Amino acid sequence: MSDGRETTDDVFAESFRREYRRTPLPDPGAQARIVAAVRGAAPPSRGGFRLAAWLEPRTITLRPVVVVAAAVALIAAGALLARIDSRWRLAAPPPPTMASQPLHAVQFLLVAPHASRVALVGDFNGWDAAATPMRRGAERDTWMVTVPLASGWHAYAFVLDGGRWIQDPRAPLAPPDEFGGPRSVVVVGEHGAGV
Amino acid sequence: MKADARARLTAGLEMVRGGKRMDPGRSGLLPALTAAMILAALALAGRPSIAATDPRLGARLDPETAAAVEAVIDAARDKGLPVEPLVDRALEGGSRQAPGPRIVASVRSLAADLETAREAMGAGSSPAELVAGAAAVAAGVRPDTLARLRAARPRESVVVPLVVLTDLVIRRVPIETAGAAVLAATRAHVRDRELMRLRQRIDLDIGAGAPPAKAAIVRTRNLIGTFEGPASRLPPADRPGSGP
Amino acid sequence: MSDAALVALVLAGDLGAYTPLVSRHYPSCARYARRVLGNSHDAEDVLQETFLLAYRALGRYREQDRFRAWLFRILVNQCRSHGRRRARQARRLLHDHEARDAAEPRSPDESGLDDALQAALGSLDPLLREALLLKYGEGLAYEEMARMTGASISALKMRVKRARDSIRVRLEESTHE
Repeated sequence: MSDGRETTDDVFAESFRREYRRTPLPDPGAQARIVAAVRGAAPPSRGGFRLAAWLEPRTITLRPVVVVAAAVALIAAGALLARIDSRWRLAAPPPPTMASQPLHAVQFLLVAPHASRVALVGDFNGWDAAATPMRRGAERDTWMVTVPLASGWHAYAFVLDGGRWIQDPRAPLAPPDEFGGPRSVVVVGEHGAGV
Repeated sequence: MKADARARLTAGLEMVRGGKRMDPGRSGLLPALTAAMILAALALAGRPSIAATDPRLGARLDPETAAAVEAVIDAARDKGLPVEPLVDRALEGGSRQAPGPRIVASVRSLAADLETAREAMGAGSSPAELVAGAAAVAAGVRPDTLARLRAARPRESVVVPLVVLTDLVIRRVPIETAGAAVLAATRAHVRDRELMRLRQRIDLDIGAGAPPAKAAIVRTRNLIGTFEGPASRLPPADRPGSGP
Repeated sequence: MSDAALVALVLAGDLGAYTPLVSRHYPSCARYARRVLGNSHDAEDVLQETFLLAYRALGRYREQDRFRAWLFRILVNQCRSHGRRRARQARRLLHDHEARDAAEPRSPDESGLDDALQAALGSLDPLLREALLLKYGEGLAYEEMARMTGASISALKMRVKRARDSIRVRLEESTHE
């Protein structure tokens, strides 16, 4: 690109931006009308409860014993949640970024005749050895599991008997990271359909 | 607030109340009590009530490490880099019980590699390409090899060529040879499935005792017809000494 | 507080946290809408639809995206739909004399922009105008624009170039007056 043309583009960009920034905005009331319209709308689908409804004073008739029973039940539920949640959270559904992408069923196989249990760990399950246990195939030496994965590049490994992390002998390798363990790669979907 | 907007707001509240009698004088016992119980339950569970941090990090890492990782992730997000791989890396470190500082260092280094890959391959690259590119960079592949791969396949994904290249380098095929082989195959329009098969054959040869460089050259030549190795394939500016 | 944090608050139930999000992004959205549609009535309609749609779709916002880009995607599509509706209405009006006579004229002096920039923009094909405003007005990256519009980066670059060439001279002449 010649200097002359670049300068002309810069001049254009500058004057365009200047004029654009001076665009008068609609009257101030317009923004308030937008906020009001939003307040009248149903809340967004995730976790919606109407804050206004909770703050607005109202009369409710209840027997005190019902209130106390509800409080006790809630405390018990909270304690139970605390115990369950820390174990289940990481086997929770895939992170939000993946939920809207198409998922492909990918089967992982490992021949490990001497293992008594094998788990699959990878970037799709937070590398949690408890999240994706594999099961033995018809051939007792072979372990398998099928996992829904989003398109793209995924790193994974197998964990034998809860302790030893090994790579997939049939798959390409990813370079070891700072944590040292072996990492195998699977490419899913449009990039190569479980290649 | 304008009159029509106020009317809309009031109408909305009416719908929620479902016809309950409105009495401004009495306080709402049940909502307040329920809210207090829920907060107590959450406190028992030991979680923040409103999570501004990624809950997965908070659950797996100690607060200090989680905060440091979040900072790296925020910076990467501002640069438009994919964030999910960084979260995954942190979770991996947590799962392998690595010390906090090493986890932070690893996330930082991945973020840097992602940026290097993007500079080499262009900002139009998909997140998967950037992640594969970052892995290649981490393995020692030079950024201009990434750029050449991109040039060889401008409109299609280069994830598989990158994965194959990275694998060969890890298996000790010299970086220049591996780069030249994958570039040659890509330029010869070898498809992804064939590239993966090529990788497998080279891997088997190495496993059988062949020198990695030779395995790569021979198998690539078999696949695309002619290939002599890095010196013959790269343009003059990249002869051995300057490297791919 | 970052956009992502405000979104998290709204989704957690603090619906009032949407108001600062609106305040923060309203000016740039309003500028774009006014310039792409050419008048403030249409802009206000589109802005309201946009912020309502964004509000309802907050559960789908992903923290790794820039909120502004995510919001603009909705805005760009709303502007396009509105433009198409208006074009259909205009075509219908052309064939329906009674309706045309009865329709309130949209006087440019009242609600439209009559500066040199708008005159120049008005002469452009809608897709060219959109690309130019996103690139030069809002300063978006081509990658973001591609995601927003569904067009390829090369197509967008071509549109920006054609739009720029088309109005460059007009704009420079008028600003040096």
